[in-house]
Amino acid sequence: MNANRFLDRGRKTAPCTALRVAVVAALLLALTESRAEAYIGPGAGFAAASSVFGIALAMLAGMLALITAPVRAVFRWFRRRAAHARARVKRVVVLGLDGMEPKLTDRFIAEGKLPNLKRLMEQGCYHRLATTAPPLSPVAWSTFLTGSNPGKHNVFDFLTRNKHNYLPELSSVHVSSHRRTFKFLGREIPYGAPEIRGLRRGKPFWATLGDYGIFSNVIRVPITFPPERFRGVLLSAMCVPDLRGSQGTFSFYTTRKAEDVEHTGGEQIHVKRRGNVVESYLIGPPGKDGKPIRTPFRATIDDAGGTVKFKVCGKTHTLRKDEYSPWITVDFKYGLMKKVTGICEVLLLKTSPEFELYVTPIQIDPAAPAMPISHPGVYSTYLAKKQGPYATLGLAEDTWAMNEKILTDDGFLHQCVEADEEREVMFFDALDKVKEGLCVCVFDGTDRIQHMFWRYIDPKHPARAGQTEPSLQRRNAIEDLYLRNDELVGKVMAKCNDRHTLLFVISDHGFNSFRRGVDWNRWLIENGYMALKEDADPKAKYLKRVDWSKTRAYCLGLAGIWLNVKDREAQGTVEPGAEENALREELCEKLTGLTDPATGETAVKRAMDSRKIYRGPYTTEAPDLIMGYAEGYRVSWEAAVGDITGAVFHDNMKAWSGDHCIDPSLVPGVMFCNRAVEAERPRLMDIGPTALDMFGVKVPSYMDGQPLKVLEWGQRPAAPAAAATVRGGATRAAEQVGVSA
Amino acid sequence: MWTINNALSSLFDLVFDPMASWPAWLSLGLISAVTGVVLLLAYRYTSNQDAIGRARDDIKANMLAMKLYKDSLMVAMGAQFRVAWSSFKILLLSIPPLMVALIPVGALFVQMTGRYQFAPVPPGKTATVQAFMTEEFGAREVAGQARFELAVPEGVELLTARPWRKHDSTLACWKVRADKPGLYDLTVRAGDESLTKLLPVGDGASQPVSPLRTRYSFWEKLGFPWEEYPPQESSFRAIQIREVIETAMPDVLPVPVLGNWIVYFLVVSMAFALVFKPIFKVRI
Repeated sequence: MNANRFLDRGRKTAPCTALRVAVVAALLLALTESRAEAYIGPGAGFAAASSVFGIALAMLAGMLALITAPVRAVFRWFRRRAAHARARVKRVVVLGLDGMEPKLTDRFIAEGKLPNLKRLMEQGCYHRLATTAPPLSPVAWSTFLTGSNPGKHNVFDFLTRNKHNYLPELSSVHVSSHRRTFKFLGREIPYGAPEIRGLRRGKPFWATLGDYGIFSNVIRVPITFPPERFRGVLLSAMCVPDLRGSQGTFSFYTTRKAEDVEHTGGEQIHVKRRGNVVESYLIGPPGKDGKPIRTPFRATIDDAGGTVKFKVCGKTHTLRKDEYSPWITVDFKYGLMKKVTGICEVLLLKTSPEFELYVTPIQIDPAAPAMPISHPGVYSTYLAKKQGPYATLGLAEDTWAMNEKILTDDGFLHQCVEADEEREVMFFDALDKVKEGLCVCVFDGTDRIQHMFWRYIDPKHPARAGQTEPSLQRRNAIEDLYLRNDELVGKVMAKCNDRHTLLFVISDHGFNSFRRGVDWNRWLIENGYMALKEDADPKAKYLKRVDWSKTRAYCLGLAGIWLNVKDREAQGTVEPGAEENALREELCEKLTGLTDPATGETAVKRAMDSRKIYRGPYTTEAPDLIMGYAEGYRVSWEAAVGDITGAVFHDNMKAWSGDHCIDPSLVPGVMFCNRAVEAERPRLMDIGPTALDMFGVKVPSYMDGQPLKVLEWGQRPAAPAAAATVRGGATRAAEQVGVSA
Repeated sequence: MWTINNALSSLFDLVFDPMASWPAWLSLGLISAVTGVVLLLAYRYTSNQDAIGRARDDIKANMLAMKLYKDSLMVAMGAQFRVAWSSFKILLLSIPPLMVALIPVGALFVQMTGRYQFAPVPPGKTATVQAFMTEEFGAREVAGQARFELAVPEGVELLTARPWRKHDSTLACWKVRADKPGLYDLTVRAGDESLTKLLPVGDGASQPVSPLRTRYSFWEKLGFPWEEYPPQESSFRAIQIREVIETAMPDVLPVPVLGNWIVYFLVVSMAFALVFKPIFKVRI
């Protein structure tokens, strides 16, 4: 008896038990994970344990969701009850195609190239959509989302001026790298995060919807950075900086020696080739000492194969000539166990005789954002986990690199198409998830490609001088873009093909050619409104040559001209009141109808007094004169950033050949809807109020926009308006001037 | 099998011997840490990291979807299904590296068991030697055709002149005692056969301690690799020192639960794996 017990005990406690358990554990892991990790190592142990945990958690969450669903439904109904009874739709979808030009749209529809947009037009309607003054994306989309004129949302341009030093600043966001500090033992101790302050005012209409319990999913609508809290999810767009804090700084690595090379929007880094290896660094955010943090990379060149092994952060990527790498995650270490991650794409331009490599601006990693780029903060992470890394920079398509002739047409097009494809995935995910509420997504490719490829459809564009006939691919870049957009619309229509969904396809403005630039600072000097310091460095930038004591007006930004008003500007000379008003009128009169002596064409259709076209508390923050350029004209590149050249008019020789910053009557946007809309003059600012109205929410009094009269599903207007609208839309839009008044 | 086991034991001796004089918590801690890191790397290179990464991302995305779109029951249910499905995928994906790690980890566990699970018989304490015999031999012994005998070396006192036997003589037991630490050869004679078993006596293990010399089964052979197995045709099935099994080694740390060598190994190896996971960029 005892002997048997001993024998049994000996067998059971022996280490062979461990082996048996190990094999059994391997085969029956799902059922016996509790001790399995002891025998299969930590890696598989974690994997097994977390998998079982994941399954258990999902089941638990599922049960919780089911149990609490009725309670949440009642709570939701309670919040929405005020609007629920009046709601006419369950879902409003707004597809924004930034800069879609109505004249091109009309032409392509007439040629049968846009079947889906035509179908949408026939099912519902198609109108010109009046834009804002100035017709710039930040201004227009701010008006769209607040339903109010720029005098109420405080965004009048990409740039504004610092009243104290006349330097250019972003108009919609203030990003400071400085952190708050407190003094301790005589030392300044920094704390908190760098300050990011939105300058756009007004309440987005989706926040109003949220007050009534209506959920919104907003993707990449410009001027939504920094993201604001509301009931829904939002991914920010325009003005989201890159990791360096700039609006996009590319890097160009080359073995070619060049002195004093300066690229707008990027920098050139000279590298040396040692054997077949090039070593350099990626440039990240500023470190504690203010100097940029660098992460080294090593490029091993295979001349025969024309490839490069690009090693950074321990990972090697094979680069082929003229092919972008996938998004590469880059760590920038700024302390012990501290790092910030960014993402970039790398394009191998040449391996021989010179080595040339282009790196996109290093963007905020959406999976682990260095600063909030979405609301809630995890929404950007959710998208990154769902679809992989994606462009987060406000202006993700690197127009500057193309302007600087570093990127070819193909290199730039790739960025545009890729960004739109990424967004399409996001948008469709939102459409799949949000069956009740608001879905808004803005695609930027339309704007960027037209900016950069307009020269190919404008035979008179100076950037085409001396060029041979563009290849078919380039000539069709814009047409291809519209065809891709049409396909996108078709897919969206398929997802919105129900009577409870109201679908808008809109653009914030149209497009036109940008052949000649006007240097207003030179004009102001020649006409006695501005003076330069006699001893100023001729290379000084940003209005630093200006003698402010003798200057009454100056130009900065794309929108217009500022007066140097006393007590407003630091060194103002113009007395507020009568003198200021007289000067405004005088300049408006002189500038309206200004002709270009070289071409004999009118350069300025009209100059507008901002105080007459805006209403609201921020009107005084606007440029004093808003310039309504004629077709083919815009402020010159130099004047836009406060530089002063030797002539008033310049040929625009850059690839950036199309623009929309002209008189708003000349560049209305488009509005397609899957229901008929009875509206004489639909405006961009009416879309938000219309969405509120369709959800049964009362339009707030501060909004300038009015709800459009949207007919019921399948109902046609009394008179066939659509065709007439297409024909006469431009004229009617011209009447409205696109401003709120 | 003995050859393989012997080679493995020799190999592990090379690893363990330099640490023989160290306290158990230190040597085991080092072994655990290295094991954790090595197995982590093994996991990285034997698993489909891309697929695991995608599954992990999918789990995280769907967990976040539940939070972001919590008002939608359909989204929540769909996301939960995806989480469960991706978790199951990870489970499947972890099987190949698990299989790869199984043999080396099993061998390591056997070796660690000999060093950290069993303690030698304390000097002066009585030990029980058990000889397990075949039924054929038992029958011969009962019939008086064969006899048991235990021969002890100098330093070991045989306390029972005649063995205690099971009624069918398939088991015989002797009591022995040694007052000085050492590794003593005990020889059991059964008829015209004999088999030696080592008796470890001491206050702590400086080398593997084996309670059993056996030929019972494949698993037991694997589990006790330190003494050559009795031949298959032998009348001996096993010889066991009972006190070695009953007297487990003291805990490596004077801490409840964590002091147990397996738990200690588990915690330290996992902790090191976790620390090195981001460094080696392993997705698990």
